[in-house]
Amino acid sequence: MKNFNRGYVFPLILLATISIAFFLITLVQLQSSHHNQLMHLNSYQQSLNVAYSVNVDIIGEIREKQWANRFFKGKPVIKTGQKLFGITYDVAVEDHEPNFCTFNVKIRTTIGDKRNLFYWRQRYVPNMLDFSRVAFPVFFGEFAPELFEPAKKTEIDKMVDKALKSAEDNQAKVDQIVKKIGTITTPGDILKELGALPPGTSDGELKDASKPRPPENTLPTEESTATKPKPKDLENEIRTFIDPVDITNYPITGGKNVATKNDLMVRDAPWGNVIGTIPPAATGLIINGMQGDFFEVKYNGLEGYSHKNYVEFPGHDASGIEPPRPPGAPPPI
Amino acid sequence: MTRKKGLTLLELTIGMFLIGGAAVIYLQSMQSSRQKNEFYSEHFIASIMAAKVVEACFQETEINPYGVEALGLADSDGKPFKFSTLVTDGQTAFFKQPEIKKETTPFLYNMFQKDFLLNITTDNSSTRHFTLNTTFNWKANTGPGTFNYLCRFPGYAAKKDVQTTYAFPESKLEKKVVERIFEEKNKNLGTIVSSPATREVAMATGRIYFTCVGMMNAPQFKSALTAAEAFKDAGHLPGSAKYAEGTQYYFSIARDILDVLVFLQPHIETINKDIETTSSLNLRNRSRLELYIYNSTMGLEEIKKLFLVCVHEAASRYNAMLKAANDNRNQRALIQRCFDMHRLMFVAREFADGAFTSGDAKTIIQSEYYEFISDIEKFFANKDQTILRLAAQEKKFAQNNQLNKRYYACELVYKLFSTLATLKSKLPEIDPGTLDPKTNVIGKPMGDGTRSGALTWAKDQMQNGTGEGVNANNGKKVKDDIQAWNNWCLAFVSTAWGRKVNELMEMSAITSYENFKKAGKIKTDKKPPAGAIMYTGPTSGNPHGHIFLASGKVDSNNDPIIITTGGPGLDGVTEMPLSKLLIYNGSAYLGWTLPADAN
Repeated sequence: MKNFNRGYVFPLILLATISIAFFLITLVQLQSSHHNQLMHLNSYQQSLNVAYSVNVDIIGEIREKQWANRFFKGKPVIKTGQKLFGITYDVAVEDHEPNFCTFNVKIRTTIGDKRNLFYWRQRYVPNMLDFSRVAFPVFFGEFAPELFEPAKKTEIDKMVDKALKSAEDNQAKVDQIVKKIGTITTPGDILKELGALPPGTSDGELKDASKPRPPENTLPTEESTATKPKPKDLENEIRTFIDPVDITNYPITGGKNVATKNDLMVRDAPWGNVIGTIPPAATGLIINGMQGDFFEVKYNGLEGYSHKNYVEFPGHDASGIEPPRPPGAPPPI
Repeated sequence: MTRKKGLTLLELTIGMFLIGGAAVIYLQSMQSSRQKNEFYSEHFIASIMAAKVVEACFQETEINPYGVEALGLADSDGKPFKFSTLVTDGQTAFFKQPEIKKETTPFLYNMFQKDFLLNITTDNSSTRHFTLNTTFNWKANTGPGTFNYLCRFPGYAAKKDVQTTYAFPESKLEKKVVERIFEEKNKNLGTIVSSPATREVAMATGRIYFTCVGMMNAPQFKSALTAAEAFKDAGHLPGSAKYAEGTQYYFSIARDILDVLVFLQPHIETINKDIETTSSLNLRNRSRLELYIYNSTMGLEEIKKLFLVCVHEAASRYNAMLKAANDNRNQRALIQRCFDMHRLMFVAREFADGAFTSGDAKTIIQSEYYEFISDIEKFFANKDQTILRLAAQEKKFAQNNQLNKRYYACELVYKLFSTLATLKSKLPEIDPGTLDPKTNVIGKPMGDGTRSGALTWAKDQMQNGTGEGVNANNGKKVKDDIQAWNNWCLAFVSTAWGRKVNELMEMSAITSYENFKKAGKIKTDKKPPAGAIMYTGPTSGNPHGHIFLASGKVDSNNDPIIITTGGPGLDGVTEMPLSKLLIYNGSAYLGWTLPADAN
């Protein structure tokens, strides 16, 4: 046994030292891995923050101008190598469906050798009534960074279109499921309905499966009981001040004298001298324009001005009410 | 000499030294590793916490333009702000649900008690956004730890530029103003109106008038009005798609009107500022321009009522939809809409006369708004802190009259309606003009079925007239018997109109009134045009009511002058102010109508 000790001590010590060294190396690598994980997590969040911040600025810029004057109208705006908070990013903004104020924003961030591409399809809200809302996202997602390149633009669009189409196609089914589930009273029955019970499990094995769901919590907000005028009645009131005749595009053929027993006077100017008459209920008047409250009429070679209260055509109902001679108009002859 | 077996002292010393050295290195590494792990752990938690703060800001600003302020990260003046707090025991809004408490989360609590401070610096030097620097500072065993995220969030609800599709084309405006308002052709406005200020007034008037015409007659606007009423009458349930569709119609009408009103606002200001300059025009041009200013202003006044009715209806329907909504996403969207609608009604409450058919408009609007806020506060108290903060902030804004200052649209609406009210008070009295007298009815038994004929004939029955009109009921004429028309008011008016107005072929004045009323032809204002048929209601002594004619003139008190037949104590056909007649017969004014000329 004594011989056994001789010549083995140093190898044993060496072995122990090497083991400790390996252990330390593993420890350092483990720490490095934690560090990398942390850095990765942070850089992703920072990328998202930068992309979100850039998008906030884009929406702010649209808001300050009119949609019709947006900076990317008609052609995509692409900027590369931009900096925000010390992070490099590339941005592309382009119309998607301009008539519906829809546009796409792609933002690619670079932190070290990590790149992220964030994509928003958004709808701008151009009206003033939605004043606390400027835009809302139609789609948000993250894609492979190389898809930022203009040549690959259609690839993202196709994927987004497909995802939106799929969501749209499924909506009816989703609504149906939601409606059906809304009437079911226990969690077990809901799982059964959804086919979500684990294989070989009955709902009786699940905790509280047959416990009734708590009653649905609804907001107490109610429809107002205050009574208001009907919009149609108000529309009629408005029309007593705002005459629809002003949307007419001239010339009009097929005008008619609404007076069925009296001749319609034709004057040389509004409230001017009478230069002729149009027979009662005459049709086929040509109306070439309007001056004051008089139409420029043409009938059987006679051209002059007749009051709008007596000449009717599609889109203009003549009242047939005799108009008073306005202040300052030439006196009757 | 034989060597003793065993280890030499030197070997043992070297062995001990190596083992000791390795142990020291091992222990130091372990210690360092433990500290680094602790640091990474704290760093990791700090980054997660910072991400939570950023996420909370996303959520808050998504629904509330003043979300940064609601979170306590900006003051009401929007000045740069520094915020510093511990994160335990609910000391910051970001970590209230769930709270980090000693009893519930002792591990986290102990960690955060090590001076784990949340510091947020807000910079709003841009009008578009706030920049938030979210930092966590803590005292780690390895030294002070720090972690931060920078992110931008939407700024205050600043100006939002809009464009209406109904704006009358500028390229056609001057020609239209010259032709339609000033009855001229192929002339420049400058040759008709020399004063630049008056020219601006004329152009502004045209812009308002023709833009309103365009909107009111646009097919999509008209069909939205029809559809809105149809959907309301159909009585769909609030949770249904049809109900939402009906609501959308009210919203779209209000939206279109608001966009038009915002576009017209500076032009209303122009007229308001320079309306007096129209006096420089000749009588004809002045009366034409004043007529259009009057019609534009009164048209806008009615459009304002339509706007408020639609906004209120939309708010009311969104309230009902909110009750039926059961998912948070839907609720948030509806709440945002509800707040916007209620805010607009609230700032317009001073100008909402005529928007309700009963009750005081201001009281209705205020009580509904506060009730809505209270409902939201109660419901979301333990559910969604973001909405709860929004409601609390909203109440503060309303109570301190800050909505105008806070929301551009509210400020615009208030300014717009107050300008409109001022302009309305400045409106000139419109001279309706005079009817050319119909000489062919003078000395005749009846009128010719036209309004001028009715007026001319009625005047001919007065003291200085021929009095040749014949009351077919008694065969009498005024020229022979001053009482010929006494108590025959309906016969008199019908005869004046040549007995050609079917609605007047009745046994009593009140029945003929009902005929016009059913046809929607009665107006209740006291501005009847010349020749109009007017009514007062029945009394205990006269169940038939009374009917008479409008002369088209007013007295110095703006009281319309009427032509009426007499009765006991008032013989003949006489002219008098309406108020005098009301005292004479002790009845209530019902209104007027103007039939088309009988042909």
